[in-house]
Amino acid sequence: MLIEQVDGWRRLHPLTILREMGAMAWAIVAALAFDFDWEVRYPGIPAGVEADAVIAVVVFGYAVLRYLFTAYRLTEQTLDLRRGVVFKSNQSMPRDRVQTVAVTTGLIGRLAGVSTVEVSAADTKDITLAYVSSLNADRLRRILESKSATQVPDSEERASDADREPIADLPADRLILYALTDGGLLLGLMAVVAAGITSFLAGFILAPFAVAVMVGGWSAMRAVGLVGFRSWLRPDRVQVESGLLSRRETEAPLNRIQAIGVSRPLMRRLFGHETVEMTTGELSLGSESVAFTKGMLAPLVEIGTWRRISEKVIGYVRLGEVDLRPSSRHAIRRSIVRGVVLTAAVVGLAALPSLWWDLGWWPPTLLGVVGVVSAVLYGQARYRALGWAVDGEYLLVRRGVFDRRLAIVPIGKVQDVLVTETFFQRRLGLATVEVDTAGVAIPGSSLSSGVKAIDLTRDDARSLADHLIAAAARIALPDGV
Amino acid sequence: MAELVGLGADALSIRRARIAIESLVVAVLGGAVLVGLPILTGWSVPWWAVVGLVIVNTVVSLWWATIDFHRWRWRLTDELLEVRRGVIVRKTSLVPRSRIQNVTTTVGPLQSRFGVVTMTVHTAGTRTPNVAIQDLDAGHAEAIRRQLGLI
Repeated sequence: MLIEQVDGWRRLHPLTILREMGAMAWAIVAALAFDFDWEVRYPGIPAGVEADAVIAVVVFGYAVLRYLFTAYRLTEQTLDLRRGVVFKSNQSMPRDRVQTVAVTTGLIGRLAGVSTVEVSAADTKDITLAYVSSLNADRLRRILESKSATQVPDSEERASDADREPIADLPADRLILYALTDGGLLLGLMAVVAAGITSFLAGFILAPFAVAVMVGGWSAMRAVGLVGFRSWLRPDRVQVESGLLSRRETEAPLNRIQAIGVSRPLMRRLFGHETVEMTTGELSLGSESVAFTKGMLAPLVEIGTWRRISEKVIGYVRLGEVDLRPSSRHAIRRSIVRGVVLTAAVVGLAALPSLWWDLGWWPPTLLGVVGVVSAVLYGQARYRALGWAVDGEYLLVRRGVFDRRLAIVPIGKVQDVLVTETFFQRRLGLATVEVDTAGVAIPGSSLSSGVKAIDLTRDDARSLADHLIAAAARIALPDGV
Repeated sequence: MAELVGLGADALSIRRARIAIESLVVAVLGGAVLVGLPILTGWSVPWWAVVGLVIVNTVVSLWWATIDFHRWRWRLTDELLEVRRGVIVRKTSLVPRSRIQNVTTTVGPLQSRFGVVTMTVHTAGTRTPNVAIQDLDAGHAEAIRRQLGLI
């Protein structure tokens, strides 16, 4: 009967159905080549099509059955494989005979996150598991190579080749969610709507489509660079792999990681996810390929996962987001003033055509009201997003209303501190503290605009700067980075 | 702990000299326009507009340079190099001494006449140079380099 998922029996990945169909492609090719034709005619259906349809359904059904009847199991002593709809086979391989475990991932495999596991043994037939999810494949390989138990071995017992601990990966569903929650996509959709309105007014129909294609293409481009993303922790380095057509693998020594950046664009935040990136002093050397995957640690993980990831790559961070101290409340005023000035400029510009065409007083007034209300709301939201926290080892800063960004910097990595007071900040007694580290931030990453604690009171800014410098000066860096 | 010190008086002199040269260039260009424009196009520019422009430019530049000169402050302690500057946006750079990778001094022809240098301080960080002090007294620059163990 059908195999249940009990006694440790597991099914292969559902994509196996496609593989099975591929194996029976000859049937479909034959159907098309010989163009089977039944004598009976059904109204509305062209001749020949019904036969092809029946063959296609049979092929699909058989593939599904084969998938349902196939399962593998890992026991203390053996690796078992059961398969066959009509002719059943039951294969069992003693685990102490396992010689090599090969995990291969093809182009489609990378896209969907599935792999083929080939297990060969000394004196029995090989076992091929196609497909299993890439995570499972890695797990199987590690267990089989360790030959000890069904559990993933501890780090001491692992063979040097399997000496890595996964940090994060990006299965197909997450990749899609990543692309859909891209911060740029929201702006892009607004652009599409704007183009739609423009084309409606101007009678040029292609504009929204052109913009939509551009937006879609751009976000697809970003996603393609992250296909099959995986990151691991090795004893002394982080290893990152991603990409569809050109696979890129990056390694960063742990002691060269300068900062961790966490980014939560509005949409991703609403879905409860965040992106965790790193900045290192060395990743910028290989500059040829896709820029935005560089330094990525986890493209899409649940909010708060940064703590677990940080602990792996830069050490345990005692501070959390609850420890963040607010900026000065004057930050709200500064932001509102800025918004009101901008609104005044826009209203001034809008008043000109309004006077010219005699549209009345309401369009500029409406703009002004909307502008001021948004400035006030934005100021409040910006204040709530701002925060900073520091202890003897780490600096945490947060900012961003739409794309909320959190930066975690080990203080030892601080290269210099810059305290800035603009004209308006000075009037409100505010200052911004910016920290520089060796890492070249990736354009478009959460750290590209710098690590800044914005709008602190002047005293807070000064004491934060002094604290950072004193702590940084105490910690010597071997090569200065 | 060392006190914050400003730039030497020579720094103000060289700024004034630069503005004098710049004003001279602007005046020559203005004269050329005054003479050339009527010949080439037939239009003319009132002479007082050109003279006014040169005077306003010179006065504003001098005023700005004076404020800017007074805003520069620096000190080198056992722990850090601190540099403050800026007229509208005020900036304070703090560089831990242990992070300083190199110190470069450059001297232009006018600078060597006034005995001042431009000193840039680099760390391994992204901001390069992290600190640049313009028209620092040459003696001070050498003292800084000596204190940092770079001479």
